[in-house]
Amino acid sequence: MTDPPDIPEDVDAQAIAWVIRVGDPDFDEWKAFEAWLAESPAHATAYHAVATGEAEMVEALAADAPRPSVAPVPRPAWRRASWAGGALAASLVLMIGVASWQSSPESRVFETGPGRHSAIALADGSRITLNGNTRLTMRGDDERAIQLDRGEALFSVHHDAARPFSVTVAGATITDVGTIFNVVRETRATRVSVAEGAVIWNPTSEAVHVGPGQYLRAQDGSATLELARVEIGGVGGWTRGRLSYDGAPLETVAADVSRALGVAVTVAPGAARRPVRGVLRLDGGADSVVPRLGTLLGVRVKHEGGAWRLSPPP
Amino acid sequence: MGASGLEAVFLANRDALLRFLRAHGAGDAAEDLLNELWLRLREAPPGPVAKPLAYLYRAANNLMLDRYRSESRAAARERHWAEATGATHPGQSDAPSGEREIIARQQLAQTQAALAALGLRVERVFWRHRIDGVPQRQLAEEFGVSLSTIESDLRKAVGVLIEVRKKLD
Repeated sequence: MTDPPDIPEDVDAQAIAWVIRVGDPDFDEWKAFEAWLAESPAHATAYHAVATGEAEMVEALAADAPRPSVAPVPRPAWRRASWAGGALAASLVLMIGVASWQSSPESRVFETGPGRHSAIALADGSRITLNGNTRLTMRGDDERAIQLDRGEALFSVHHDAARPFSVTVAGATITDVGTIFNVVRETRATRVSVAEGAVIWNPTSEAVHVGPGQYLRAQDGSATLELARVEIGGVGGWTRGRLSYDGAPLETVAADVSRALGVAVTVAPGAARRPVRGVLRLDGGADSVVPRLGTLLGVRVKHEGGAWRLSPPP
Repeated sequence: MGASGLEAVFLANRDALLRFLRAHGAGDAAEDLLNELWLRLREAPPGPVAKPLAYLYRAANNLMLDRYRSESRAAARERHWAEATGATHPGQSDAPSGEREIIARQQLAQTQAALAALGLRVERVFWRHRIDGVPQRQLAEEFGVSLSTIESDLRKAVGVLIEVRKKLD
């Protein structure tokens, strides 16, 4: 079916080569594998040792990756430039952009106020839902090139390989591969979570594949990206009045709650990194949601001057 | 193909599967192992299977790996037992779990560093294949390289894991 593998001479190296080939879900050359095993008992022994040893190491690697950060992906140095640099680059893009946008008068800006949702139906059947306090810009000549200026949006994209759908956010580009995905721009980080299909994060540089049930978090200036698991049913849960978390820091949750409900929610430094697990229902308004968050997490909740503040328990 | 279809393929290829188990070093136990495979299939029939014979070979392969795993675990237990009772390394088998955890963490850190040293693509290809379960052909498309490059990347990664593991033993 395929070319015969180049088999190295050393038995361990041969065993490694077979572990790789047999380990592929598509592998279907059992006769050739059997012939190699039958050549010498040392072959079977080496194969068993390598296959089980490798599986154990992979198990340990997978189990170690702390949730929610399953796989740190190193980033090329130029991507690590601090956000100050990024902002400069963005403003350059904007200056160039202004000229071309002027020649394209239909360039549209969509904006929602705090606590308001809005949906955009595109001509190709794709749909974008905007969370509160969100702004996105659509170039008049291309509905499939969206810029998320701030906030959060859920994209249900009609896939077209000839015309990829892309979202740019804080200098990064996300391209769809047939998809429902959610993008959030936080104060100093971008999060992308995928419910269906997949997206490619920065296809021309980092090219990280984010598949269903995964989320990627890019902290500005960080040397690595975080890839984590996310409950598929929870992606874009804010559109159905619920937010679900599997270890996200409290500051992220506070930002999500403020965006969804249109109230200021701040977190004391001592509680900002507390991991949150569970589902938070958004019904009943801020007056009941924020205190519920306090009970759920065992943090102190204070309401003063129209803003909510979460702090560590006394 | 449903479970009964799979059983038919099993029966038609009984001798071939037996040969495969023997090539794996099953020896006299080959018949028993084949029966075990048969029972596993009957007790937990898989859903529809696209390539029934390949499925049976994989199941047989997994069975042999499980057997090897339990045999080497039993051997390790015996060795530890002998060491503990022989008092050549007193206390080794019941080191405080906190300490063992620290050692395990150091070993993991070594493994991660060794993988990272192979370069970004190798590490990512390995991760996508072994953790996400993406087939090699699809990875070749995803990374825009040939299938043999993917295979060679994976060989490097597995080679490093096995090397680190040998050093740890």
